[in-house]
Amino acid sequence: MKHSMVKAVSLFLAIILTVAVFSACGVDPNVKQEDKATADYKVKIDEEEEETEREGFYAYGKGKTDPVEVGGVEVNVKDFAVRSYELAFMMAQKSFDSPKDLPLDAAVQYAFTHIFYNDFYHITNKTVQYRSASEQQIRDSLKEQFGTDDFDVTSSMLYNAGKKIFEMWVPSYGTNIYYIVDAVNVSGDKAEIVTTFYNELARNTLLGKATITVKIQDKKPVIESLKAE
Amino acid sequence: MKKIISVLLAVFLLVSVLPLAVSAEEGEFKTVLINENGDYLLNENDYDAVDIDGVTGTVTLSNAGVYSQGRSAIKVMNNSDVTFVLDGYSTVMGDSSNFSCGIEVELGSKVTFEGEGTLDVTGGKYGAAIGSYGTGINIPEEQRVQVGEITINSGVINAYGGYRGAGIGAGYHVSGNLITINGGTVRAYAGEQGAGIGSGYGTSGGAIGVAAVGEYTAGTIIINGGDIYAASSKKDFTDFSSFDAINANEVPGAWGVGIGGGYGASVDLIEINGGKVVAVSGASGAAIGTGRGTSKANQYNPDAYHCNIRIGGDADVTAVTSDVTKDSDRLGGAAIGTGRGCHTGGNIEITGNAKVTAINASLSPAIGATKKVSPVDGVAIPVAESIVIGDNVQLYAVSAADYAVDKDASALSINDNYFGSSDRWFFGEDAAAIADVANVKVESTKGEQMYTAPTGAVSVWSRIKAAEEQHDEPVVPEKDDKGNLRIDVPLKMAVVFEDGTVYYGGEMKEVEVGKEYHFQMCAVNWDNGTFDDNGNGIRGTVVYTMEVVHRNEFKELAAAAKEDPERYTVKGIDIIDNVAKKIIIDIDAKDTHLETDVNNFFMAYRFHFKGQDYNKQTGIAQVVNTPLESLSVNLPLGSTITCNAYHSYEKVDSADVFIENNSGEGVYDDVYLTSVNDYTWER
Repeated sequence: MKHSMVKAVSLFLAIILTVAVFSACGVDPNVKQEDKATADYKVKIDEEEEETEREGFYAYGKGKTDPVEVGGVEVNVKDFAVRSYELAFMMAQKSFDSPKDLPLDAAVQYAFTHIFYNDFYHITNKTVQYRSASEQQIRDSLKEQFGTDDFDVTSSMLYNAGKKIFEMWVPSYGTNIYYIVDAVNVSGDKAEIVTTFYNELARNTLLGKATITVKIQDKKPVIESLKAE
Repeated sequence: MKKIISVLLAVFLLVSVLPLAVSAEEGEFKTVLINENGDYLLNENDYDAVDIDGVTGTVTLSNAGVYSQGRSAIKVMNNSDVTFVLDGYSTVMGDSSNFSCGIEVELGSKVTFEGEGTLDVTGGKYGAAIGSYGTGINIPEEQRVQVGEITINSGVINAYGGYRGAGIGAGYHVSGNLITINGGTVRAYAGEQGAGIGSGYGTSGGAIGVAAVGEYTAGTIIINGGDIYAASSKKDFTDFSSFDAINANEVPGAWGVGIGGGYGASVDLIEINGGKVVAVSGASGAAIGTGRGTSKANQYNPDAYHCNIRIGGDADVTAVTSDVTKDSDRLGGAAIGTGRGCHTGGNIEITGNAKVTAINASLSPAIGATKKVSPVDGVAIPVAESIVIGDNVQLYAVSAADYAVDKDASALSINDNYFGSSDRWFFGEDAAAIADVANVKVESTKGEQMYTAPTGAVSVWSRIKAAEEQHDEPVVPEKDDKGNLRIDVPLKMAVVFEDGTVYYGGEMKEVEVGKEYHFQMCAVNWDNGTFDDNGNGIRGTVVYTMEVVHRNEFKELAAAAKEDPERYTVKGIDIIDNVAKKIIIDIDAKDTHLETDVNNFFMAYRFHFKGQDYNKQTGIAQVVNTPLESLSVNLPLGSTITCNAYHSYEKVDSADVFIENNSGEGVYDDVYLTSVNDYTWER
């Protein structure tokens, strides 16, 4: 065998060996974990503990999203963290002390969308969807979200008085939400859920911060107020 | 040496772009464990089992075979997010003797199917082909098996549920979660009494509050595209020429459904937005909707039993319920709606440009609730809670023994504006009312399809005109009454119609006289003057309607509208119905066009800075990407914009704004303007 042929065979064997090593370990050396993490990390939270103290309140540690009992009712912390994102960053309603402070059109649009979708970030249609709803559905959704339907809903721009229905092109709100629940402060029949939102999975850049207050009404948790920045 | 390095480098590059061939353990059982993120390949080998544990990545199935014993063939678990890329023809089978699936998707995990290949996948005992396995006994919810999320984007998937499991979805005694189909060809068949797509056999009756009828659910099923064939058993189902032909397709999966909940299971939501869907069920279960319920009040939870179905977009849906048992005690099941033995027909909404054919060969309306007594009191006859059929829907519904559409629905909304009057509906209530129903030939609204009612039909309900004189001849369609309309849009805006077509200023649109068109307002990307769903511009949320009419009708409408100036704005060529958010346009007018007004159709926003505006700019994501000084921009109502403030083109602030019509804030030179909203940066 010629010397050059020996070198070629050696090189080929080396290549095979290299490939086999990487194959055997079952890990693509060129794929970073961060590059692959996508949808399932939407609600991933840090494990870091950080107790907060406040008179009259008891608090969850930072990063915990377990359901919390408020006034004898279980409140899903994750759900309301997401609600605060929807209102503050998808509907641009960053501050209200009570639901009646919400602009009518924003409240109705928010309630309308929740008739059809539990979470805005799940709305991953390729384009907008036409939807219609009855006044009763809108009122039921407002009560479910805010505990009140004390809105002049038929004055909303989504109301078609000719057909007596509400109509809407529901946007494709779908997105990833990266957040950490900083604290859940509970007092009596109310809970404040303080959440920090980020622009990316690595949580390097701040999107904003929101404090949503949830109260128990008729044994159900409803949104009372929101402050976000 | 340089050559060697070059070759090694090339090899590394090659390794980086090729999926890794999974090396199975040699020996009696070739079990593969994938527990690191990455891209993997299951090739032409046969495997005994594959575990995907906590992985985000892709697994290419390339002519692979996975045949398991005693467990699911492929298990996706521990919050995995896996895309199966289909290549060639692969086969995956669970164990028919043990609780198992073809591809088991644990709660918290998510699987997506892509590629152009074919996958034959079969469930094991009590298991879905793709989804979860189940249990042989009825157990409380907190103890039940649960299933993760399933998405199909492309490929050909033939899914055969195991005994009492769904084709795609949940197993026996298990609720569904979320199934999304965006494309591909899917043929999904249930095992006994389950759903082709949805949940498996739920229950025939357990204790209320523990596992009663209605407390299981199919979860949410969303179909946006693809060719989907789903049945409660594996049978051909192509002949709808007569009810005998339909019934001849013997379906052992009676009581199950094509798409929805298996026996005893509710439906959170079935939403069909596009694609071609054919769904077939045996007796007692719906083709699309819920499976059979129960006749026993103590095993039925009316608070939990529910059914929500929405069909819209351009979906082409055929739903057929057969009558295979020939046993009147077992009949029922709507083509679209609920199965026999429940208290409600649910909420059914058919809108958009959907084309729906619903055929029921059994004792039930084609659309609505089965007319057998409610299990709640054994007396009440169930009705649908609501049925909505939109203006542009092309509907053909027929029943062998009941009303084609549940006319007793608590809320029945059919706005027949397309034809202008309801007498165009061919609505037969019984055999006597339709003397020769078998020979009724009807032509669709779109002039594309001919239907002949199946032999034995007693009720046909169609948004289709029936032949009145010569039943044997097709209806001669009226001469096309169309015109051309110029679409005028405000500066830097576009109009998008329901079918997705985008019109910029000055473009012509062919329109049918008397037809309603839904549209929405959009802002374009100022940089390229374009609107699309890929980051150029933003859409509004308010639904507007346009209709063109001929001169004579327009004059009559205009005269009437002038009597009600609060509601109507009458101009030379159009009438704006401010109540119905509708524009009626004279198609015969010279220079006829669609024109949209500020405040009603969009809003002008001006951006200022506290103090002075000099050398301060505003930009709006997707609209004004190049920031501008003293920006004034037309924006669609109901949208949420993200705007940024700049000083000398350095970003200094950001804000989200919900776009509403006039808030009364528009003040300029002491003149109150109703056509503008001002936004002032506090900088």
